[in-house]
Amino acid sequence: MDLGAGYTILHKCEGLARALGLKTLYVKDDTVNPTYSFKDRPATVAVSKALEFGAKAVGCASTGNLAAAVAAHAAKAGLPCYVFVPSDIELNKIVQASTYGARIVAVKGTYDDANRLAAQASEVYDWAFANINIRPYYVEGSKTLAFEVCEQLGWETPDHVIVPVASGALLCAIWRGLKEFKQLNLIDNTQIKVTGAQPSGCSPVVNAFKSNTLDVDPIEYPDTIAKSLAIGDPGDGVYAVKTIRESEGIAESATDAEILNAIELLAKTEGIFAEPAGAVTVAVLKKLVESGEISLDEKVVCYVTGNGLKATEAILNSVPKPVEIEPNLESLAKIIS
Amino acid sequence: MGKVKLRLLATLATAIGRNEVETDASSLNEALDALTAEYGDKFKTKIFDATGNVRRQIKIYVNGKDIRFVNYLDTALKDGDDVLIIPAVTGG
Repeated sequence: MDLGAGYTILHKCEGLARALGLKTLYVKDDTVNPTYSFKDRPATVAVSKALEFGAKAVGCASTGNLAAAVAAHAAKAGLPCYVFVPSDIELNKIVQASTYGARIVAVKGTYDDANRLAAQASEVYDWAFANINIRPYYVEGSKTLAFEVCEQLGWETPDHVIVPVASGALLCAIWRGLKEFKQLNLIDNTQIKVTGAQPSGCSPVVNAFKSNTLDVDPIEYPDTIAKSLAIGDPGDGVYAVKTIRESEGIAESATDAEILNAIELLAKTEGIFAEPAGAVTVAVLKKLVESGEISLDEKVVCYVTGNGLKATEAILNSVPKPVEIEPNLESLAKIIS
Repeated sequence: MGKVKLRLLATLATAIGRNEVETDASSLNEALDALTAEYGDKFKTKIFDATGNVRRQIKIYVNGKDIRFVNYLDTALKDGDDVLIIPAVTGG
């Protein structure tokens, strides 16, 4: 079931690189997928498998982006769709999924509450839940983010990739994709550091990494503007920590203020408008360059995974208000100088 | 001591042939001990690792609350409480 997910642009970001002091920086711009996030990649696989298995409906637990992606692919497939979301989801994301025809189940509580209820529902109803009973297939779709970067770099590999972490599934899929390309001899090496980026208000994987443990303690009440990353109990958290260590990457978090600054920096230097969950990679890159943990001559790829138009309420207060003027040149001249 | 309901999902339900069990217990530990006594290793080895800790991919909730935010295996149970055990990776 194909809406055209993937093969998004890999921008060579000279302006952002200059601002950060890096020599070579790329952004994999997944803000421009059919439903404006990377989730179209796993959703296209999940809904295709749902059709193959003869499921009567599809569903998912979602912080918002997956809801829209599954709903759009379900609409194209002609399947009913049920999405379980936390009730504090961004309005834009509900509007998007609803317009595709999905039934929105707004669960009082956190994403983890919505996910638990969806897991129970998957036992009761004959539905294919993208990230529950279809999850082994669903996660494979995200490997294309690794495949495409290698191909777009002319079958070269970056030195370092920075990936947003919610459940951890994306980070693990990118690493698997790189290793599979190595096994196929399509790339020469997998000496690629995979770094995970989380918001400070929900950073269980970063906490485990920094505590040098594989016990990923859950966060009961995530508190961040990066709602797409507000998964307090990450399903693949332990595997994400293992992957980061195996690749000799880093796990780091950024505050909401740092994320908002990164949204602005990315927009003003590269013309890319990211949601907070997408810009967290740029925020973490900035921190790691400033701390010297990423050296200035590393070839870095930041994965920017969701469009800013999906989360305008999170960003609205950090942008200047328009200046109102009279409709004449004198008034214009006063504000231009 | 109260009568509590344990609901099991996915492979765990398959392993013991039931998706719902009632038992008398005053704590989660007691409830899991009761199920281990009844269903043996096919239940115990799916819940606990070799060191006796709950496996990382097993999620246990009492009345919808993750036990890691209560008293873990010492979480108290009372009559009518609802225990949900999810033995799978989900979400994201």
